[in-house]
Amino acid sequence: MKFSDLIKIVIKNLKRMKIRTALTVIGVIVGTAAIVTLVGIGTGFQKSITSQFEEMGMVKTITVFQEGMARAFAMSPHIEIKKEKEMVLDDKAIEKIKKIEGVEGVSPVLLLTNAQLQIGNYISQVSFMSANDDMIKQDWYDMESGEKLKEKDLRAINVGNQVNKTFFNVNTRESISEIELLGEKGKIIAEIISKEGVTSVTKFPVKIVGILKELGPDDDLRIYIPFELAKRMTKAGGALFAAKAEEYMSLLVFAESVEKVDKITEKINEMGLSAMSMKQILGVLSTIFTILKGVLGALGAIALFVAAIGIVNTLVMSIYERFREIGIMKAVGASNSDINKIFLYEAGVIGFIGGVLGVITGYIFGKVLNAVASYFIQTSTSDGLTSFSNLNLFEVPLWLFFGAIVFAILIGIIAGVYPARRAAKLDPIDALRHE
Amino acid sequence: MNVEKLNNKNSFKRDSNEYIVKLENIGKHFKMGHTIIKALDNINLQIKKGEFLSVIGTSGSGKSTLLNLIGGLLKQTSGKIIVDNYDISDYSDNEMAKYRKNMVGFVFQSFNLIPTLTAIENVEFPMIFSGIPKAERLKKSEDVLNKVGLGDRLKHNPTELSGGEQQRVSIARAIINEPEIILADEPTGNLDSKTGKGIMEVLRKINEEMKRTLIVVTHDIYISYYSDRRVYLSDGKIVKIEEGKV
Repeated sequence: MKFSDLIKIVIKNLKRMKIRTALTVIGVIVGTAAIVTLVGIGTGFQKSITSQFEEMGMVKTITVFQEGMARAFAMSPHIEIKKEKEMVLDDKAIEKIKKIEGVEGVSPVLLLTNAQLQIGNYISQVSFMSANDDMIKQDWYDMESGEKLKEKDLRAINVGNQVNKTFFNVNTRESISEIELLGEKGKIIAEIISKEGVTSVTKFPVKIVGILKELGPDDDLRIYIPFELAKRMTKAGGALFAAKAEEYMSLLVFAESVEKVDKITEKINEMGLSAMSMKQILGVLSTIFTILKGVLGALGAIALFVAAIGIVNTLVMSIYERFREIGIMKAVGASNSDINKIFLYEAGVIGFIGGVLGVITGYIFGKVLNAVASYFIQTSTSDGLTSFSNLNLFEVPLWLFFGAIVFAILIGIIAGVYPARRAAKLDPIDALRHE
Repeated sequence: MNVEKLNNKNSFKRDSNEYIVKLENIGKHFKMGHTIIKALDNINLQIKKGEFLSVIGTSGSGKSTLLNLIGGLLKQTSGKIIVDNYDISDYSDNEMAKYRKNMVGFVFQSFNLIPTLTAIENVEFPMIFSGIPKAERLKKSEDVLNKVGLGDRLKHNPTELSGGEQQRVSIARAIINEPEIILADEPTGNLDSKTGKGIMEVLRKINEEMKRTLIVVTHDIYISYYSDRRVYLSDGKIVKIEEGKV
């Protein structure tokens, strides 16, 4: 039987039971749309969150803690630690790490929260992050305006992209929405609380020489100061956690390339420390999202399964009405497989039409949901979360588009197997006797 | 199996054997619950090529069963059936379908046309399963419909045709694949005597001019007078064979 004839017969048969075919197709549309919308949302979420991380460009950065500290943060789910002994995070450790193959640079982290930056009558109480020459060399340490600080120049500082929105009037405590920072001179005020409980204050004169580009919610609200300056502020008592001045809470280790990250992480862990890379986090995220997408897809597939039952029902019913016709077909020489093919194709075409329309419906529905969500998020968070301005929580990759259609066709064909067999096995004489 | 030859008309064996159908000790019974019904009992019959044969009997005599057997719609319970020197006794479902497509053409009492197709679409229908392209199908169907006198009814649906016209469409469909044997089961049963005579004329023409073997099942003895030979069946057995036209 020629394919063109087969298709014509199939379409004619489907047209004959228009309403029944339409209802059955609607079932497939709903199932397919459900899959596309749900998996599309999963994919969109994954892309948007992953790209946030990737935009920050910190995929080559490894964060190192002392072993105990890492446990406290409970952030090492997948690391197998083969340690010789527990190691202390000090300058000696830094030298050791610098010698690991692939390490481009190391920056000890001094994160100071008990200091303030005062410019004229305005004060900001954001945290201060130490930066050394290794850090400012990194791709992500990029300036929006002005220039980078230098490790040696203790008077020049950089600020994160959103720091200009964190100032308030020192007298009235009234916050101002924005302040021009580039080129401004001011002072860092650090507080000491001595062992006896006496508070004294040290001031460091500084100039803001550069503003960083947008990095992310945390980094945009930090003031970056040269490492030496941070050290002095620590000695002056502004640090929150430092037990001894020479021990660091954490380090940032910069890898030469993304490929070297895993090896370096492993080596640092073997040294008795706890290393954690953004790459690992992304890896975990990726796994989570894959599982999430799988679950969402399965939910959608349930709807499609129900639609498949509808296809079986429609076809079986149509066989009852076409007994005589099947008998005639057999009498004029149609083989069992000819009849089998006709019914299978009818089921497959229902799947195909429902699949294509379902994908389109799912796509439109997902885009609508995305627009609604974007609107709500934008109107309710007008400060600090500007990095979410271009929200795209819904994406239908090509594999999802075609995969859903193919899946719908497959489900259709599988649904057609039983009815097709029944029709093909009809005894011609019995069939002709009907009606 | 020799089924491939059935698809190629030119390879038919035209040897000295003049019998197109040979039935040897054919028996057929049906199981209805616990009872066994013997529809055919020890039938031995030989049908000549190009013959016009009538099978006459009352209802329940087994005449339709015999026709369906020769037509490949039924399988015998015992015995052998040889058509054109091919033993079709043990044919599979697929081989039987091919046999029905190429060797036989059916004409039924109730026409059995597909109501949603037009006359010409009904006639071309069997050719779809031989993979013949649309243009060729349409041309051939038109020719055949002209031959049976329905050249002006091509696009009509069966519901728009009279009984006699529907039966002509049926006959056209039966001969479209140029089968060797045409089997007609009470072809005039649903028609008045005048129309019935017209149909028998068409069948006779096909038998004489196209030289096709024609087997007609009927309970009407007058219909049987058109044929060369008459086989009388009763309770599944042949009781009499009459030669000669009346």
